Amino acid sequence: MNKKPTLYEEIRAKGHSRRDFLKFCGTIGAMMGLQASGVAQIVKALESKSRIPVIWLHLQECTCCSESFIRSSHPIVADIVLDKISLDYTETLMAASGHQAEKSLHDTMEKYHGEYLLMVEGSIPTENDGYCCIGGKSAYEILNEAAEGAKAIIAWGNCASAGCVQAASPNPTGAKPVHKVIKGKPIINVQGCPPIAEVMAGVVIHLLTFDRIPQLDALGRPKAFYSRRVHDTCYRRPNYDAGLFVQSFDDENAKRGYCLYKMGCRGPNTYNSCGVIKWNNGVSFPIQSGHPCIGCSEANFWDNGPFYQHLQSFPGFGIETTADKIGLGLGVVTGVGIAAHAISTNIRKRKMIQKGIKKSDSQTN
Amino acid sequence: MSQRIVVDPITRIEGHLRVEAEIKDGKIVDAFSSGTMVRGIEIILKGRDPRDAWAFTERVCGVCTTVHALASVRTVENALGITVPPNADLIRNLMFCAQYMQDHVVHFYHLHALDWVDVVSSLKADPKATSVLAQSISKWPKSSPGYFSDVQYRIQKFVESGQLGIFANGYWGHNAYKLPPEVNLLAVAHYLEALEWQKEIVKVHTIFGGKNPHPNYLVGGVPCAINLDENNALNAERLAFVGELFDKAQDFINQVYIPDLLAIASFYKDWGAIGGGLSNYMTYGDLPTNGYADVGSRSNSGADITFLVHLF
Repeated sequence: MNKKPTLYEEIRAKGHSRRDFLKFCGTIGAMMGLQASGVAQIVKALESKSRIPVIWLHLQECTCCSESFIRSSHPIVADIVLDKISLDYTETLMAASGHQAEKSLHDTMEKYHGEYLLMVEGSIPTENDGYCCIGGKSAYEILNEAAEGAKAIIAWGNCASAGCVQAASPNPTGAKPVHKVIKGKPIINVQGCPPIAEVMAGVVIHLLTFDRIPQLDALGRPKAFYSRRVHDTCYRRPNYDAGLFVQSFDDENAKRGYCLYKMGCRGPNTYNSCGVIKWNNGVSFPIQSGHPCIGCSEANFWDNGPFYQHLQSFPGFGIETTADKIGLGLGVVTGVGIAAHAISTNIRKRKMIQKGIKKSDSQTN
Repeated sequence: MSQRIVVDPITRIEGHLRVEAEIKDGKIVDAFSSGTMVRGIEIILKGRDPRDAWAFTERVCGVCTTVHALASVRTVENALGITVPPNADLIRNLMFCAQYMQDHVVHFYHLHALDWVDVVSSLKADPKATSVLAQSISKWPKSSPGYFSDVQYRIQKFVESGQLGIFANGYWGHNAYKLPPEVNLLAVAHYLEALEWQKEIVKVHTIFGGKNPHPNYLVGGVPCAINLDENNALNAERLAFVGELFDKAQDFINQVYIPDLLAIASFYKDWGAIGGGLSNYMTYGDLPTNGYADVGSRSNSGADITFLVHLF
């Protein structure tokens, strides 16, 4: 076991310099909001640890989580972390099929009992075992077996964390997330449909580095990435505060990039890193590209529609609690407060911004 | 005497697939395939707001993300008699093209190649010979002997670690793998390169649709506004970004993917005679320039490409 090369040795063997390696550690550290001492810990951990075996199960899903994972932006993440975790079982990428694939699964479960990480993409149908079978076994059976010897479980995306689209009404297959069917194991819910690639990589690096699960919110999501509302980190927030809203996708306000709240934006009740890390190496995120947030990192967001109707009654809950925990009545009361805030907001600021726009328009004309 | 072979799961696809084959005297006489997972998205869609339908439909597949959403918005627009603005047609076409390019490359290298490429055999290759071969079929700049020897060293180290990860339990060394070691090394090197490459072209989706996988669509047009004098909308910088992404993607496809495809296929010509070929395919054409309903304004998707895609 000790003969296995460490992650650092393998990175060097792959032709990357120590400087590349330190840069990678620094980037990951910055993403996780760590101080310099935390980055030093990452460096030390990755230099001295060998690859942790990973079983990645695909249940009721669409593979968007796997696809997002391989989009990890820094080359060193796609190149190294993808390999470095020793991805022993994943239906999407593994060479083997059929009984040979199943052998990989069982070999890992046996050889690394209690040591491997279990990553789950997809939900579990509970209405009928036949709704999802692999190698003749039901999703529930497979998950139960694999969870038994797992060190920890990462539930990727909305499917494994909250059931996602298949759990939307009327949930014909009785789809349930991992935490509803598995008990007694640490479960990290990495939310989103899919989660942001760098968030997925960040969670893996956290586990590798500190050998413990990151701090989670009340819904089991890592605080490092899910403690802020998209609304609070949105660069269009000043427009909301000034009462400047897009009223139609083809109006002048859409062209100016005003707030999408009235178009149904779920930013005010969605906890995710879209406004901070953004997507695909920071290129953009839904609101920046003109579409309201649909709230894909929240449970039951599919039934919280229609998407294009703005939520007057969204609950203005705090960071530590969730819509499920706050009573509906309270949600409506605070919602009305926020809606009022959105409408009769700082008029002076609004006038100032409009004045500024007129000025710049007259300058360009 | 007949025998039954079951392959379950079929890997390197999206979804869950089981194939059973009946074999008599060494030949397959009958075969059955079944998708072994259901979510009931059709049932869930009933009674929903048609403007929301694209998001549900898009989640049918996260590998070929975007195409199901596009089909959904077109369907709703057709039903409601909505004509989208010409710029929306063009933006949707660009997103579709980005997907078409990314999906072909990922399908070839990461999903299908391991059925034709023997990863372990690449360790026996002479990197210099691979370099000569690579330079004879393409002008791709990363084809030096040193480059291939670095890749080979990486694979060597990986195999020696004893943790084979996604390459564990393959049929390595089986005589159905027909590529010489040098071609295997070429393909393995480009498998790794393509893994880096694929995350770039999808940025076209991020620019127009905010994210990838699963970018945003909109019934009636596209959500991203064009305003050349605004930094909150599509302006010259965003358009130049899109242009650059397509240029680079095209270079990779023309100089790596297509030469590799032809080189590898030349060792498996006999496989071209197996299966249904073109007898049962329909192509409708795509990339409309005057609304999807106007069949005449769609370009033909090309039967020759379809043939290669289904061969590999």
